[in-house]
Amino acid sequence: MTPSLSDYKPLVKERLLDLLWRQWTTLGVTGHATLWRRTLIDPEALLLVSCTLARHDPRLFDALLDWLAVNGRYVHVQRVRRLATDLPFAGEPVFAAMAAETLSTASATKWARSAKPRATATGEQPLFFLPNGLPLPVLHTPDPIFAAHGFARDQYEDRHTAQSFQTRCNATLILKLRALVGVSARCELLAYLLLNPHGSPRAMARVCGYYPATVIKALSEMMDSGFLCSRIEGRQRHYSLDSRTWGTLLLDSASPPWIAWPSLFSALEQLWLFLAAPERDGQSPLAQASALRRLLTASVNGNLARSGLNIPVFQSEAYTGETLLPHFMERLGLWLDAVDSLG
Amino acid sequence: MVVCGGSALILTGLVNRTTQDVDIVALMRQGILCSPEPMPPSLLRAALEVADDLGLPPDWLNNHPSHGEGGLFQMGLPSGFSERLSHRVYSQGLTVHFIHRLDQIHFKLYASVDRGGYHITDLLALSPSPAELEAAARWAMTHDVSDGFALVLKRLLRSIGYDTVAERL
Repeated sequence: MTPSLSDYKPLVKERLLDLLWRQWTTLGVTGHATLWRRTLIDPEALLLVSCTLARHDPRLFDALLDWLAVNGRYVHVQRVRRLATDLPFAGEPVFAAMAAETLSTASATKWARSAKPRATATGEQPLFFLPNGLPLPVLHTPDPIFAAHGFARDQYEDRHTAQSFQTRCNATLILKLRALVGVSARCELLAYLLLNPHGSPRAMARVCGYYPATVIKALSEMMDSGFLCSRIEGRQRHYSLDSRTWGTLLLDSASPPWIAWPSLFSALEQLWLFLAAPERDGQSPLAQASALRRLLTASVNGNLARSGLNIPVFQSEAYTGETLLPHFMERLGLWLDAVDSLG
Repeated sequence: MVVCGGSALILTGLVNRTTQDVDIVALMRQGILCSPEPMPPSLLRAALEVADDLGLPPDWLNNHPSHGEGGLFQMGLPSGFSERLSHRVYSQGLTVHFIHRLDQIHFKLYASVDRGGYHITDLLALSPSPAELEAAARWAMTHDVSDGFALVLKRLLRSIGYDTVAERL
């Protein structure tokens, strides 16, 4: 028997939080989770999706803040903003509060531009939620930094438990490259060309989360190194790298598939927000299916199709009325299994 | 050693996503509980070697819960605490005692009132009964006898759906 959406919601939440814990533990958050070893972790996409999902796991949320104090220098803050503008991520206001908190602990001026509160911040929205969806109570004087961003929580205290990221796995390649050559678009471009036979500036800009002009300029300069090749195909210039040579140097094992985590995480976050919406419990199955259908068509299916995973998207046209709901739960299970196997 | 906190929570299987540190609440010598402060130098040395070997923070094994005058051991452990311990023998020189779920509820309630945040979600993951929470609340109120603590404690109990326990205190 197919469960109702309200019964299904906690299962999805647990699976998504497991995924986040696995990736963050590999990046240096201290936690009791199986390390993520195979595919590359995208730190900015992970951070953005965590700004929404970790509100249901205060321990993870605070562990991230601890992590930012240690490893925040390797986060590409501009890229976070670009991804949040480009894709439907809901966590940007929370990210602004995180940036402000990190600014106070890590003294990193690069966080300052992202740390400005929204003009509409009222200090009344709970930051964390209990398992039943009700707000986690704030028992003492609220944290002033989060309050300035419109979120109520008890005072954050850095437990100093975060460590540096794992270096002996492919998953942290982006952070390793940033530690080696600095935080710039070139790290993603190098990683992309390492895991793909070739790429056009437009395609790389889209999947890596940069402006096309940034990518064109970076690739043009990288060409001058003599390590990249390019060829014209139609109206596009395609770039490539001797991935066998570079792979031996930069990868620990077989080349993993390239996953467009910003698209994948954005789609999963949208689905979670659909499930977690307060109005969902009071809706009829038909109304739930109708809202879901619009969401799938508007953004989720497109982002899943662009994620790099070879799994069929949701068949919103083939399943009319409320028959969409069991299809949705079955297909989302497939997607979550596939995502889990990437690590 | 007698362990509480994250590692003991993992053992219960109810809270898996804790941080990696091991919190010592007491030491056990010849069957008698004693203060973990100061930590025995040989234990500290061994812990630092393990930290080096496994890349853990230097204080991964610590006595933070029973540190100082306000520590859990110093202020008094819940009644029946030692009878409820379970243990695992790791070697001739190392036996680890894990605290019981009921004592976790005591400690987590105290931490929830004191610090809020994830301690509250940990507490709820232990699914305490009203009677267990009442016992924990009465114990916690012996650790902090201030009116302010009692006020926050009752507010917490009401906000997590244990109004009847709050009324009984």
